Amino acid sequence: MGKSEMSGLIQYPDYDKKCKKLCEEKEIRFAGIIDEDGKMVAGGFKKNLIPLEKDEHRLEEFMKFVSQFSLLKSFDETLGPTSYLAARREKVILISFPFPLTKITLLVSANPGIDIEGLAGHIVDIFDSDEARFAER
Amino acid sequence: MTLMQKSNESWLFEQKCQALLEFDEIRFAGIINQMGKLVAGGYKKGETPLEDAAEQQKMYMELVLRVSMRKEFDYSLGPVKYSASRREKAVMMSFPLGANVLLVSTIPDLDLDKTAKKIMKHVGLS
Repeated sequence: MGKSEMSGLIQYPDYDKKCKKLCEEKEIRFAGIIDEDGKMVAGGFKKNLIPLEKDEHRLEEFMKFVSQFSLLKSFDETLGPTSYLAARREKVILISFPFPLTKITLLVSANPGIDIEGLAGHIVDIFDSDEARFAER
Repeated sequence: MTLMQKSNESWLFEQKCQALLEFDEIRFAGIINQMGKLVAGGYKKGETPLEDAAEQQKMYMELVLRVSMRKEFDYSLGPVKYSASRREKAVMMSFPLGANVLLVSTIPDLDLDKTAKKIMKHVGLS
């Protein structure tokens, strides 16, 4: 998704600030909020970073895929709700946190050298209070 | 693949899963084929599955679908080494294993990267 498409689409200004703050960190490439249709509604890529997926349409497809799978509720009753999904790929680490009540997903991508658990903990520290606030609605 | 090769592969898969089930933190280790069928491994002896048989089958099918869809982005993001979902009662980890997928279910309190590395080393993926 290009920067032009993002302008005016920020529906979560608080999350946008937090995502941008995350992106200031050296190893983080992307931090964004995706709605249930796969549209990015806050955050984005690190400034001046060229996405690994350069095709905007395929990038949108990817976000849609992440959103659909992150928000799936299959097995919630037996295995408990999902805290996060993670994938370690050759070029990147991806972590997505579903916010089921608001049907949005926080997606973060980072360089592959870092520890998933450490990154997840750090993200939770930053976003946890907000998720709790949304849960009260 | 000849019948003999297939039989050797099944034996090897079974050995790998049984070896993983020796670890205290692992509840389930199984190989799922492209059709979403469990072809080797299973639950640790004495372990009560959290899901019933129908849910297990659904889980395998969903896993195969996810793995297949993830491959669409391999060319830009690089191939998946492993993926995981951290849930309240379990951590589910999957590792591409040729045309199949190794699915491992563990206790929730563990370090994801360390456990994944241990599993990959044990099954010859690293």
